[in-house]
Amino acid sequence: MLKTCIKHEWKASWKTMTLLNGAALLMGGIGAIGMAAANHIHLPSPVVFLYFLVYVILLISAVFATNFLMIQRYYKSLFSDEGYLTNVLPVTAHAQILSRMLVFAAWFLIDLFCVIGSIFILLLPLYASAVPKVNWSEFFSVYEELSRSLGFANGAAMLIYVIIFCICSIFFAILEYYFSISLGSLFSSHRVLAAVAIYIGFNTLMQFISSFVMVGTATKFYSEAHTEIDGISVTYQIASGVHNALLVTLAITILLAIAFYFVSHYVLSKKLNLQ
Amino acid sequence: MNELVTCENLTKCFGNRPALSDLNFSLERGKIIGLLGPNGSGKTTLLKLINGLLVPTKGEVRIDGNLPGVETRKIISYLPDKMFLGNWMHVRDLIEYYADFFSDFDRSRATAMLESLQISPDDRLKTMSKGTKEKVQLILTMSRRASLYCLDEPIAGVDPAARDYILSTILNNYDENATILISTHLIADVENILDEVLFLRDGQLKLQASVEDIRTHQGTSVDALFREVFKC
Amino acid sequence: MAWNLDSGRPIYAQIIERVQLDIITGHYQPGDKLPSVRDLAAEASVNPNTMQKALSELERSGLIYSQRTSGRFITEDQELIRKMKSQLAAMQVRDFIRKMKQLGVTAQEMTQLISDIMREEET
Repeated sequence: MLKTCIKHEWKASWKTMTLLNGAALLMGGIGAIGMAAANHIHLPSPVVFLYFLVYVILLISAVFATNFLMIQRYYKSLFSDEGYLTNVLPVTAHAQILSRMLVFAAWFLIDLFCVIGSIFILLLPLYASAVPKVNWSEFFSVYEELSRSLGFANGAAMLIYVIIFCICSIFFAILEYYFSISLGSLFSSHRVLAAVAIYIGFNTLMQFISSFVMVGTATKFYSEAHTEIDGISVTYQIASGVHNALLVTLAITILLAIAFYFVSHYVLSKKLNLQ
Repeated sequence: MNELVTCENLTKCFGNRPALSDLNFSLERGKIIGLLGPNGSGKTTLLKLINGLLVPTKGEVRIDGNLPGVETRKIISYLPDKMFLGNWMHVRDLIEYYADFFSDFDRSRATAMLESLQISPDDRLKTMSKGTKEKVQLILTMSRRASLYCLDEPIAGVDPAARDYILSTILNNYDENATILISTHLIADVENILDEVLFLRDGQLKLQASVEDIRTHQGTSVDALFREVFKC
Repeated sequence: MAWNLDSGRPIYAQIIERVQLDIITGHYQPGDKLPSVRDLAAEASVNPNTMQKALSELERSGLIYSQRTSGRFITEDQELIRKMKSQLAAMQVRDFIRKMKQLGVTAQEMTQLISDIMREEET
């Protein structure tokens, strides 16, 4: 039944999302044509300004709309009057939550690719005409050095970390919303307001704790290393602690996401109280 | 086993306030049963408990031997007293939705009933009147071949013509192995189609009896008996 | 359209009377096929189980008979129908007499009244 849930969640969201992402790509294309044309004809600056204004607003609103739709789908289909049907489908609460989470995680990734793709298309004429060749081997060696100085075994390890962290962050962000909405639904009135308050409150708390921890442990991020240059012993510091801190951050993100998931599941299966 | 629904000490409290207290009864298969009581007597709460939209504070309700869950949802068709369909959906999407999630959904039956009301698959819920939307909800609910239908106030606030349509839709789709549980406070309108009635008052079961027994032994209609039992 | 049923009396008894009346008035002819229980219940707006019970009762009295596969039919026994008709008529008359007695009308006045009113109706 998870598959059926995913199918219908997709059906409920694809029109809006395709429209927004398509518009983002299209605007990138228009910008690229404009830029290529600017080499030959003069474009009035208000037009250029207006274009960039609309472009930036569009990219931001694409991401914003994904967030909004994700929240709206979870709240409306499960906790509003629509919940009277959604919650009596012969489907487990796990499938309800997972299907929504997976569909919107996919949309966030698609958003990401479309935004990057749009910017890439926009800059294509610039790249083709003017930009000097990138020295890839130099790029990789700098990247490799950076990874090592942050305490990773090599560049590949850091890349894997970044990818895993991105995916986990997306799940974390989605589940944090679900968690807030679920807790908000436990209130007898003003449930949306309660959910917003819980979300903001929880985020503030998290930030407070993390900055506190950061300050407390900042000095431990660096370890001393020795090397000899021309026979003179030199002491310098490397940020190997950053590596550990990043791993701890990832672990905390995953653990919190799992906690969010189970709280949401508990509310949906045991504490549901539709009005 | 002829019992479809059994309640044992079923209790539901909201905060400290009991909405249902210590309900014990069972419902047989193949009956049309009226769940009667004044507003706030716990009718909706009971239907929500049967459908697993609420979890009991104490006691339990079983449907076909199972506690509410995925298995029971496969055999219960529920019509809440709310507009529960997404307004953005087309009739076609709704049929698809029901057919995908409920294996007992009879697509041709639903299509035929919608056609007879001149509702096209391309129609959007958003553009329909409240009365039409309610009929669409009823048609979808009654197009399932379920074992138990839970209808919450299906005739509240509708005109007499719509009421006749609703009652005949219920009767036309009823099959003798299914049980229909109809909650209402408009007793006179439904009593002719009922086998049995449950009277709820302040969350307690006041009476469970067959309609013909009431008429034969008390010589009065269920409506009149109700007025007597619930006299203020 | 729903059938007109009294509120105080058992529904199945009222259904029986209604079908009997339909047979006597010729709405259903001898040998006619009755609609299915489901259709009849929907037509009358009554519970199908009650309709079933009423039809079984009618079957027992012989007014209708069922053929296993093809459904229920009105009896072709004219004598039975005639008997039922006089039974129903007698019942109505008894009811009438009881009410007249409550009003204090004597038997003689009653027959006088009947013939007077019948003459009025005819003109």
